This record gives sequence, C-alpha cells and structure tokens, in this order.
Amino acid sequence: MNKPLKILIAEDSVIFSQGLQQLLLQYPEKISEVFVAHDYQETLVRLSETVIDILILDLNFESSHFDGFTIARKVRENYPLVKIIVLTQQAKVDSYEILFSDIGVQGYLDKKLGVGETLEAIETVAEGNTYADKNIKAMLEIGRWMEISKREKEIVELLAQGLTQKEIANRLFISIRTVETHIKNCTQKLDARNTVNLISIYVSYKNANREGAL
Amino acid sequence: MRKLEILVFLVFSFFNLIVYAQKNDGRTEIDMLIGRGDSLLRANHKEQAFDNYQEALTLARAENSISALAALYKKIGVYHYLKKEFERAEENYMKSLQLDSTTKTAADTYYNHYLLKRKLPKQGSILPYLEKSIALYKVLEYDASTYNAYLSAGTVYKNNQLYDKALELLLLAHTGFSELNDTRQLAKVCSVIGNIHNHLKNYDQALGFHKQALELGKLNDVKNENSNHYNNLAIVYKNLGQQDSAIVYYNQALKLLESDDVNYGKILYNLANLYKAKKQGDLAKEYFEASIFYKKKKKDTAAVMYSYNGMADLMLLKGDLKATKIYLDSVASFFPHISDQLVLLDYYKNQVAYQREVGAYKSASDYQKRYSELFEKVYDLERTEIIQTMQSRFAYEKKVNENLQLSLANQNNLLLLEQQRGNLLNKNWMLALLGLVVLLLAISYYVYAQKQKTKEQALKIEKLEAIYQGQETIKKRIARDLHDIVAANFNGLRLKVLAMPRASNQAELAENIASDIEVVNDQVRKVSHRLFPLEMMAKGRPFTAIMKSQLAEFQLYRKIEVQLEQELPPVLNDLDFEVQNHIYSILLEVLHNVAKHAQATQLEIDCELTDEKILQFKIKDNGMGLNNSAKSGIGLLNIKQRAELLGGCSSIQKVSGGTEVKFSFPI
Repeated sequence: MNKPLKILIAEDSVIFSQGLQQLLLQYPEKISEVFVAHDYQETLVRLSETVIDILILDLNFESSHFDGFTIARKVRENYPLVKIIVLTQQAKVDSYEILFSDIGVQGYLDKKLGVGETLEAIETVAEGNTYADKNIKAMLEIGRWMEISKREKEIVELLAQGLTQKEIANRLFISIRTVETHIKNCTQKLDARNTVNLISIYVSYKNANREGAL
Repeated sequence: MRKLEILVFLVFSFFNLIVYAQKNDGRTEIDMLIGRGDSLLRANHKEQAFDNYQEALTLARAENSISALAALYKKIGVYHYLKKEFERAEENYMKSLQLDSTTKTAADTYYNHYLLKRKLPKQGSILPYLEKSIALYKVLEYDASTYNAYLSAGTVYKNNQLYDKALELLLLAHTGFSELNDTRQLAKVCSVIGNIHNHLKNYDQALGFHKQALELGKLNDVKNENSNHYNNLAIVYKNLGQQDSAIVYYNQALKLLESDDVNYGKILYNLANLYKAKKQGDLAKEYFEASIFYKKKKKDTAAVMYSYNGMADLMLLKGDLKATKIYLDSVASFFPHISDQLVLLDYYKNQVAYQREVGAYKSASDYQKRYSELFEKVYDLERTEIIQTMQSRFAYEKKVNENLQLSLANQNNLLLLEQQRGNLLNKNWMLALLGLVVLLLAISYYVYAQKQKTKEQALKIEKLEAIYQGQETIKKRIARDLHDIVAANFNGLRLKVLAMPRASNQAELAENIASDIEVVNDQVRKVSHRLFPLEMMAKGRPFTAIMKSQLAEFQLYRKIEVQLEQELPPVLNDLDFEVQNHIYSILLEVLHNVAKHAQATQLEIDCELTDEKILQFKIKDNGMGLNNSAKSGIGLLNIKQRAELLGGCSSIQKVSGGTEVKFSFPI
C-alpha cells in the first residue's frame, strides 16, 4: 500500500453516495479523498479536474440517456489508468461477463456490501488485480452447474464417490458409452481439463454450497 | 158582361167542336173505306174492294185530301195490276205519283210501278222506277216494305250483273230482315247473296250464305223455296268440283219438289250434266231423258233445248253420231221460237264438235265463227271487266279479312306477351322477395353475430373486470406493504439510531441496524418486482439468461438447490416483453413462496413447449407444502392473475413430497 487513494463515487442516489463516502473516509490511511458525482457529466468533469485512482460506479441511473455501462466505456476510453469498480443493486452473471471481458472493469461489487469487502475490493484493484464479489463468483458457478442435466450431475456425483464408469453404467442401467458421453459433455460445459479436474470442480462447488442441504 | 163573355166563348167552342167532328168524320170514313177495301182485296174480292176505293176516292176529292188521293190512286193501281190490266194500273200509279212523289206512298207506288213494268215486255226500262223507289225508301223510315224493295232491287241488280249495287242493298235488307226477324225473307236475301258469291267464285262465302238460307228456310218449311236452297248449294259444290256433294244436294232439292214444278226438269238436267262429267253415260242419258220429259210437260221450250244440247254432247262423247245429229236437229227445229242465246251458244259448240267428227271441217269452222261471235256478244267485255273488278275487290276484302285475322292473332300475341311480361314481373317480384328473404337472413345473421360478439365482449369485459379487481387487490396489498415498510420499519430504525449515542454496545447496535436495513431492502425489492419485475434486468439480455441468473441467485441466497429438468426452451427469448414479464413475475412469486413457507431444500423446474404450442411450466419443491395463509395470499393471487392475463391457467397443489405449481398458456 503506497499512497492514499483518491476515489470518485458515481452514483445518482445522494444518500447512498454520502453513506459510502462517510464509510470510506473512516479509513484515511488508505483513502485520502472521496469525490461524489451524480451523473454522467459530473463524473467526466471530475475526472478531467482531478486525478482519480479508483472510480466506484453504479450501474443504474435514473436516466434513459446513460447508465453505468456507458460511463464505464467512456472512462475506459478516455482515462485508461483509472481503475473501475462496479457497484450493483443486484449482481448478475451476464453483466459480470460484459463488464470484465468487454469493457474491462477491475472490480464488481454488490451494493449489499460489508465494510471489509469494500476495502478488500479497493485494495485488490489498487494493486492491479481484479476483484469480484464472492456472491457473484458463486452465482457464476451455480449458473454453470445449472446447465448440467440431472443425469450428468448424478454421474459426476458417482464419479466423485469413486465409482468406475462401468460401475456407474451398471448402477444406472445405461451403457458405458452413454456414461462416457455424459462425462464428456460435462467436462466441456464446465471448462474442465479432464475427468479428475471435473471431479475437483464438482467437489469445490458442492463444498461452496454445503451450507445448504445440497 | 161577364156572363155574356162566357156564353160567347161557350158558343164558339161548341161551334168549333161540331166543325172538327164533321171533318173528323170525313177522314175517318175515308180511312174506314180504304181499310175495308184492303181487307176485301186481300180476301180476293177485287170488285167490292174497287167499289170501296171508288167511294173513298169521291170523299177524298170532296175533302181535297191529297195524301188520301195519292194513296187511293195507288191502291186502285194495285187493283188493276192484280186484274192484269197493266196499262190502267200504270195510269193510276202515274196519277198517284203526280199528287205525291216524296212520301212512303210514293215509294210504294214507285215500287209497284217497277213490279208492273217487270210484267211488261219492255225489259230495259224497269230499273229507273225501282231506283226511284229505293231512293225514297232510303230517306224514309225503314220498314218491311223498304227491305222488300231492297231485296227486289238486289235481285234485279244481280241479274244485270251489277253485283256491287246488288250487294249493298242486299246487305241492308239482310240487316233489316234480321231485325224484323222475318226468316223467310231473310232466307231469300241469303240465297241471292249466295248466288252473287257463287258468280264471283267466292265459293266458301257462297256456301255460307246458302247454308244460312237453308237453315232459315227449314224454319218456314216452304218446299219449293227450300228446294231452291238445296239447288243453290248443289250448284256451288258443282263449281267447287265436289260432284258427289252436288249430286246429294240436287237429289234433296228434287225430293222437295212436285214433279210438275218448273224446276223439276231443270234439276234433272243438272244431275244429268253431273253424271256426264263423272263419265257415267248411262245415268246421264237417263236423267237427260227424264228432264226432257218433264220439261216438255211444262212446255218450257228453252229448257228442253238445254237438255237436247246436253244429250247431243253426251251422244257425241259416246261416239253415237247418228243420235247426235237427231238431237242437234231437234234443237234447230225450235230456233224460231226461242231467244235464249246460251242455248244457241251450246248448239254452236256441239255443232263444231259434230262437224269435226263427221269430217265436215268447213261447216265446223263456220259454226266456230258463229260461236265466237255469239260468245263475245253474250259475255261482253264490259261485264267481264266488272266481274274481274268485283273479284279483285273481293280478293282485296279477303286480304283485309286476313289482315284483320292477322291483327287479331297479333293482338293475341300481344296479350300473350303481356301475360308473359306479367309472369316476368311476377318472377321479378319473386326474385325481389327472395332477395328480401336473403337480406333478412343476412341481417338476422349479422344481428346474431353482433349479439354473440357482444356476449363474447361482455364475457371478456367480465374477465377483464375480474382481473382488474384482482389487480386492484394486489395494488392495495402493495400499497399496504409499502406503507408498512416505510412507516413501521423506518420509524423503528429511526428510533434505534436515536438510541445509539446513549447505548453501551454501539457497535452491536450498528450491526443490528444494518441487518434491519438489509431486511427492509429485500422487502422493497420484492414489492418492486411484484410491480414490474423485469424492468431492471432487461437491457437486451436473453430472457432465459435472466431466468437462470435469478435461479442461481435464489440457490445462492436461499440455499435451495435448483435443478432444471431440461434446457429452457429458446422460444422464451422470442416472446413479447409483456409475456416474459408475466412469466418472470410468476417465477419470482413461486420462488418467494418456496423460500418463505416451504422449508424446502430442492426445487425442480420443468419448462416445455408442447406440439400444440402451449408453454407448460412445472415448479416442484420438496418442502412441507402450502399453509392456508399462503393459499389465500397475494402471491398466489398474483400467479393466478398473470396466468389468466397470458390466456392460460394455473394450479397449485400438494404432491407426494412437496408442492407443485403448474401454469400453462398458448403462445
């Protein structure tokens, strides 16, 4: 952690932006200044006047002319050095993909954030890494698993329990070939390198959701 | 003075009365005498009648009554006429006519004079008297004598071949006798008219008149007249070439006659001629001989000569030259006594044929020459022309008749046409009626359709009203929720914040407040979703992705594993935004219910598009099922409402090991 950061909050809700500003100003050793902008223009004006390290950007604005995506693109284009952390009312899997792959933001946070998470995200981004809300990560994972059919999931589960493909085929009264096809499809859908990797992904997914009665 | 006046008047009147009575007596006596004379004359007491007339004449002279005198001279003329003292009769007629030439008496006198003249040998001069009579009759009142005069005149004209004048008068007579209902005279008129038509070769009309004459004749039963009618008919049939009919009628005529009748021999002669024409020589000969016998008996020389001529011709045909010569000589022997030129003509003709047969060609040519001369004399050109004119006129009249008939036919056709037009009109009416019926049907169908439509619309409106009512209920609930959130929760939070400065465990309280706020946050988000769930998410993302994202979030936060039974159908992405909104809303409602009430750990979602293009959703949890508050809650109402708005239906029921929500709708 070198020097304290200058942060700009782009958010049309005055109360939320002030709340966040207050919270961030509680940590002067990490954050020196916190600016607030309520719309597209104010954001760009502030950026042109002040050197900002991190822009904390809301995705939703009460305007049909622009939204967080518009601002993110503009900022990325004009001020490539400014790090962007997106705040969202509700974290969504596919917005995540657009923001990281397409626009190239550095962080993604849920508005239901806690203080620790917020500071962690700021620090991570400031260090040049990307930070995604753990809930969003989890949801991404769940979303991928949702593509997996019941039968496929069953087979992976049996694999994880240590059964061979043949044993699985016998257990489920299907051919080995069908079992192989299911495993192959699963591997592809989850971007697993091989069956072992697939089992490891499955186990970690299962562990992540252990709190539930999965 | 006054009495004297009355007396004078009375005396005067009386005097007048006497004079009048005397005068009256004179006239009455004359009339009486004439009447008595007429009766006597009718009873054939001619001399006594004459005496009465003479007496009346004396009285009339005394009276100087011209009309009476004229009448008396006429009657005395008749007396002389009847006594065949024609010259004295004529004298009297002339006297009568000198006195009176304009009245009925004069007309009668002229007529009588004509009758008288007919008896006298100077034939040529009779017509003027008749014409004078007719001229008078025409201007006077018509009665029987008028028509008798017309009949006579018509007959005379006919005999003189003045058919034009003859027909004019005869037709007047025909009408007159018809009106007077004098069938006997009418029969005579018909007979004469028939004769004229026969001469003019209008045989059909001739037959018509002769038959009428016969019918009328039968009413009167005068034998020789009826015989005459039969005779006339026979002549016409002969002219028509219908010899058998002619023979039948001649025989009828013969039956009605006494053998001493003048016509008896003539009819026999005619029959003989017919048989001759039919080449029945023996029969012909028989009849000729019979006719000669009867004619001789009547001393009718001219008629006998006709028969001789006929016999001569017959013999010639038979090739009996000797017999021919005998008959021809017989004819020749009578020549000095007769003036009938037709006999002569026939004689010449027969002579020509005979002389040729015997080879005396010079004599033949001689007779031929004489025949030709006489022929010209008899049938003089002028008369021939008149006949031709008449014929052409009748032809013309015939044509006029035909035209009349044609025009009648035409009229009939027109009537028919009119009728047909009527029919057509009827048809048109029928068509119009049919059109009307069709129109009525169409209208009633339209009305019916409208009614159905109205009914349907009423139903729709009812449904919409129900939905609206439901929406109202939902809105009310949302309003209440919002109020609760704001009023209750925020006021509670406000109090908690106010308590903070004095609290000993400030950090704990702050945590507590933050957690409360998170709850409020969730509540508000739920309300917002209920109002319009998709608004925040759309942004051009596929609907299936939004759904999956929601399910992933649900699994993450609610710790309930979501299992998609099969890949969501891609057709979901092509639906209208409104429809997607409803589906999403129902999904959220179900998820909310499951999270809140079911105590479930697993959720199975199955979405399928059937072949009938019906989208079916089946969401089943493994929880403890619905409780009553959930059943009647706003959430289930919201599901039901939205399914209906989609034109589908929904059901929520307990199944083995959980609860199943199903909804489906056509796309």
